[in-house]
Amino acid sequence: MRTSVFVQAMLAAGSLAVPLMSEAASTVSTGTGALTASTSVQFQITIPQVLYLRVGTGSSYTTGVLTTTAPSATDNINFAPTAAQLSGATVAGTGGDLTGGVETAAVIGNGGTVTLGASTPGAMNDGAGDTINWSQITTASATNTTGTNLPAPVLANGASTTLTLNASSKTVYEDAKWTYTYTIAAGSPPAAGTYGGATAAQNGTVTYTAAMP
Amino acid sequence: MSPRRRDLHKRLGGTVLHKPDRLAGGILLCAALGAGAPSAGGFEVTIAPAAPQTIYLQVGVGTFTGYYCGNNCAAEPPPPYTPTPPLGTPGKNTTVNTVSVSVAASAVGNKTAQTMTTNSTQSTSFYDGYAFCNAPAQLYIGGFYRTTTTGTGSINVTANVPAALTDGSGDTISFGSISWTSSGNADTGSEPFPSATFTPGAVQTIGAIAQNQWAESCWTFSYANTTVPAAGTYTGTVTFTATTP
Repeated sequence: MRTSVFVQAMLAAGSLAVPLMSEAASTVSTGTGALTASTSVQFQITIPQVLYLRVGTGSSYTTGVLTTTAPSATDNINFAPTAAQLSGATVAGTGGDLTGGVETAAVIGNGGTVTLGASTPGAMNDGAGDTINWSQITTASATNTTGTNLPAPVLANGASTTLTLNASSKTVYEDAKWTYTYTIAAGSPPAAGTYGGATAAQNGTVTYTAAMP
Repeated sequence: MSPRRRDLHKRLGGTVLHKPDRLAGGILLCAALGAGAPSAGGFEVTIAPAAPQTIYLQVGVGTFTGYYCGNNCAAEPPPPYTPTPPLGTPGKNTTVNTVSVSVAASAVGNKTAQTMTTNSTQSTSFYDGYAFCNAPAQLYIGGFYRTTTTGTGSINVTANVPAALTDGSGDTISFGSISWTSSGNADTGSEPFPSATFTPGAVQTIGAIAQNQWAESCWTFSYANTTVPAAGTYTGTVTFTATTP
């Protein structure tokens, strides 16, 4: 019987051992005939928790770049209805990182379920007491690069209803193209003016928030 | 095989240098032997047949009393047991080294390979004490296969690779995302344990040791980092095995 010096010692002590199969960084085996020596190495990879949200311009998440970028004027969505549309129409937007009133939207997380919400300070106004409700701004989600489209929160004056993005293997990886439109109800034309925009008091900014509970 | 000695010259008075530069040794050898000199390559050196038949396998830190070439490091193969002191004696080391990486939050899944490090302190070769690897960045892998007679056989060294590293919560990272590059200080050619990527869920041949040969390499591991796995700490153990016929 061919055994190592180590195994021989174990057998002499009355113990039962599997020859040279214990974990080690070095082993030696001697004798006549077939010999076996085994060593083990443990591998460890630590992945931190990350949560990425993009609406509009942002880092190249499709190539793995999950970094923070500052808002850009490119992300502004503008609606300029014609006189004819004021009597009732769905108005397409302009602007957005994909142009035509379309924004890139993406959520990537690796800590389980993600919630996605949106909020506005209130109805858009023109600074003269006239308002447009955010419910008139709708968002359609269309396929971008992922198999599951990222749904868009329904905008409201104030907080929207929070959406839940279910995780697969604790990860969420969803994107979409979000197209914004402005609906003018027949018989309810807004007063002439510029609503929302960069003036904070005119409530023109939507803030999206993703969270891992 | 391209055996290449590291210790090819002696101090004046006859004392053997145990840790001279390998490349310098190779140059001296070429100058001495001319066109027939072995070319530079990975470190695979012939050892003399001797009883008992022995295999020694070391991955990471190891245990060895002395160095294999004893005080005959200028000779290839080093003559067994003469002159005294005898050749070094291999032993068992129960340490299981860890190769690890902690991915920065800004780098998770960015498709840039993440270099892994080890907790190994083994840089020197137990063949002759040469600083062959650069621990902890590199993991030493090597050993010898000695028989009682001459021969042309060899033994494969295999890696028993699990399918995936796990975090204990059911999440996994494929072992196929871990690769290594192989090198060795002063080495310039192919390595006995060459660069490769783990094959998940397989017994994978990662190198070979010829009969009556000492062979060694240094591995630098990396994690491919092409996906965004669930947050957590993933572990898995690979077992390396050498078996004689």
